[in-house]
Amino acid sequence: MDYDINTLRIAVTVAGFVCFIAIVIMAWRPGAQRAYQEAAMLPFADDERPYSATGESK
Amino acid sequence: MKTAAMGSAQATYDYRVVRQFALMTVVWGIVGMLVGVVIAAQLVWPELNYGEWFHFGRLRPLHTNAVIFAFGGCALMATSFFVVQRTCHTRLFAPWLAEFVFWGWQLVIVLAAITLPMGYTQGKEYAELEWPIDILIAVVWVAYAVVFFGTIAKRKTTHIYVANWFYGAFIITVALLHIVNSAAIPAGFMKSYSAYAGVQDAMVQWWYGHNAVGFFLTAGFLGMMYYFVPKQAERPVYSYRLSVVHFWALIFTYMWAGPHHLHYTALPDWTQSVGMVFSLILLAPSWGGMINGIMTLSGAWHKLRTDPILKFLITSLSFYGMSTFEGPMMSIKTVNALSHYTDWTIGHVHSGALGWVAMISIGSIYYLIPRLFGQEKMHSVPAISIHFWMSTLGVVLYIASMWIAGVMQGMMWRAINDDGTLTYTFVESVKSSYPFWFIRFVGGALFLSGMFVMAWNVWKTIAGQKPYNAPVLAPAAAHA
Repeated sequence: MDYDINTLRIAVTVAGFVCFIAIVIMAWRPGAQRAYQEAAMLPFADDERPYSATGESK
Repeated sequence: MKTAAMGSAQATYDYRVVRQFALMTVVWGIVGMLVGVVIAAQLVWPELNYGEWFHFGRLRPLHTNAVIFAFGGCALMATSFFVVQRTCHTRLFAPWLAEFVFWGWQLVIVLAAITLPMGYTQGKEYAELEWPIDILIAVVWVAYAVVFFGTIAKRKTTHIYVANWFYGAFIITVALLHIVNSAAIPAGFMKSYSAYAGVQDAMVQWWYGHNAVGFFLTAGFLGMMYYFVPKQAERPVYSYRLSVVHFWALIFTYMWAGPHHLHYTALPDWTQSVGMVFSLILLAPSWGGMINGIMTLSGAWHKLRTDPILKFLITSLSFYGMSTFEGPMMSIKTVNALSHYTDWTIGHVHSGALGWVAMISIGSIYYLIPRLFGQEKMHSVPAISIHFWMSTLGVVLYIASMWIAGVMQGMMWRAINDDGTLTYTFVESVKSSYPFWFIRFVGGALFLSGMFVMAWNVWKTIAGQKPYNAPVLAPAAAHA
């Protein structure tokens, strides 16, 4: 087999695809779900509505 | 401010810089869109081009810079400083530096508003500002990155919420794009020549230009989506897994799409094809993100009926879906042969800029303003609804007229008689465009009028109110 610029192009394409598959596997691996659920709730860890302007601290 | 102890019950978030940026978002939105309406009018009524300073050629870059970097930039900085603090349960890193970011960025905007009409330009689209201002932008941007990533570094939570990933990618990439594309040899105080030559210069410019779209106008606003859509819908994002794949796929793919701006030019054919293929692939992560945002509402669709802020956010995602379908189609060489250099491109850009970027920013600012001033909600919720319908109708008029004008121009330019001569002169396509340019002017004016409704509503909400800084959350809450 001759190695030329096309071999490099194919290798880069395959490497990109492998990266993508690896990310999908990482996202769907068992165990990720629990961490993701925690992360997904981060915006709700609070009740930020003041409903009264008493917290002024400046 | 330096004395606020970590974890102290008295500590409050640094909302000051968020307030400054949020209010300037409204101001610069009006200024930038007003210039847009002016240049739209100049196309319909050419006699409105007064002298050299008030000419379409000088005002057009002022419009693009004002809406992208002043309006969009302030919206991104306001929301990112808000989101990063709240999802990391910590105050800003180096608040004094954040203050510098605010005033530095305003200075950049004012300098742009002065130098662009005077004709100082590097001639690169969305990167027109001359080298001294470019250096200021780089310094301010690095300061922005230090504050943002410094805040993430001192977070009290285990995870870094996905919105911060998108904001982070936006900040890093824009620094890279700006510094590489602005490399120039100064030839005087306000004059320079690009460090690159010929087709390489064009490629560097459109690598910058398309990634400005991909990271400034997309990734940053996706960060906004991943925080404000769940908050306003009061439910977590539809799929966090999808958001992870969305993030990596989007940032990997966008980097390579730039060459589609240079189809049928001196750029090598293979480079054009790479740009086209990656643009087509880009449909997948774009729609993945859009679906993730819209499906966050699943089970709560009824909220759309009553909540105009949610209407803004969800409609913005619909326009995002439309423009990220249209974009890949337009990147196909044969389609591009028809669409390039026509008003179709202008319509596509505004489908994204007004429909997606402006509407998600407006929705997010409506969410922020009351919370930054200790209020429960905006002064007038019906006024938000009116603003929503003015914006939507404005965008629809704008993009529909530009589609028709663009396809018509493309068809006229390529029409050939039996003997091989052109059927139409260029000026005939200009004459035929006038009615559509007028409709575009009306659509833009309607969108701008909506911004005045917003300004009134914001004023009534904050007038006489004291600034409010919410207390910092206890870290344990993250594991509730």
